[in-house]
Amino acid sequence: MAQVNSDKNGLVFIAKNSGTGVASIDIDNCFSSKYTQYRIITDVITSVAFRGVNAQYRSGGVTTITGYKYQYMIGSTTVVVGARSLSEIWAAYIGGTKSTDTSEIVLTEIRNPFQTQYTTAISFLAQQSNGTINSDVFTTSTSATTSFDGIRILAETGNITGTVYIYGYVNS
Amino acid sequence: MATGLKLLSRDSFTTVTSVSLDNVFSSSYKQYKIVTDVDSGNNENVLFRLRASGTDNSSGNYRRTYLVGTSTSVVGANESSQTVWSGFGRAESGVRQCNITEVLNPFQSTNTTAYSFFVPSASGNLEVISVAYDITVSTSYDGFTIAPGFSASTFSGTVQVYGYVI
Repeated sequence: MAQVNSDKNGLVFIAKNSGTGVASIDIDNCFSSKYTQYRIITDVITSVAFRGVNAQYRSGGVTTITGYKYQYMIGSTTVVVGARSLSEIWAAYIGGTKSTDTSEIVLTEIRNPFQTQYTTAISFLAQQSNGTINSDVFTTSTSATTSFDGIRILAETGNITGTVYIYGYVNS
Repeated sequence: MATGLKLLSRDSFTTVTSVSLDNVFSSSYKQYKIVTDVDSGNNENVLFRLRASGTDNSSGNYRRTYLVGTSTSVVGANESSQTVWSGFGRAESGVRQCNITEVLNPFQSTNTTAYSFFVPSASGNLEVISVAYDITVSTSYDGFTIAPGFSASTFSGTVQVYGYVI
């Protein structure tokens, strides 16, 4: 086993950005060769109720708006359903809103956005929908092995208000 | 301010049949996060065994229940009396994917439990898999072994272990 300094922090805060009533929140230069795994936390509400908060990756200040894939499984009462898309516009599902003033908890981890690999992500959502609570698990991937240095957060429709936080898991 | 998560080990390996980490679990932590980043020519599930004093527990006391989402199909199953935790991430040809596992109480003398989530088939028909694990004995373990599958294949990559400060 490769021992490391056990006093070293395992999770490092990298960046945050906020917006109020904006079409998107961008964070550039947050992904680098220093980290391979990231945790994304959002506290974002949308101007339209019951809308997802999604991500698209960026490179050099330019957003990639196509070339993503997703697979999900959603548990709602006794029913579990799934769906997949291999030609998608969202890189990750990282938030949602029950109403225009209530954000939902979502845990998202992203792997290898800066490395020349497929960028993959897993999101766990406590989705409040139509008076019940759903348990969602999303996996996403890019269709190409592109290197990204940033991320854009935006709603399915409408504007967003809130803050996005990015953390990196240290490698050494 | 104290950190809440500490990096305990990081190992890189190339074309090996298994990787064993000893003395990574201790009384200093209860919950661990294990992040693997592996690939293999055989496209196989990664296997995991708990380990004590340099010896794998290969007895039939591992259990798991999994959910797999493949397009519109979501299926699950549970397995008991297994000699290994299977599905501890996926090792695929030329693809490094997000594999996350959290393990609770491996060193404490109680039943160790774990949960894995991963993103298989990122280069093709993407899937989603979550797996819950436990073991029916209350042994104290100080390490683990991961391997690329039941067949005699090899894998390459990294494994990182983090401990949640208590």
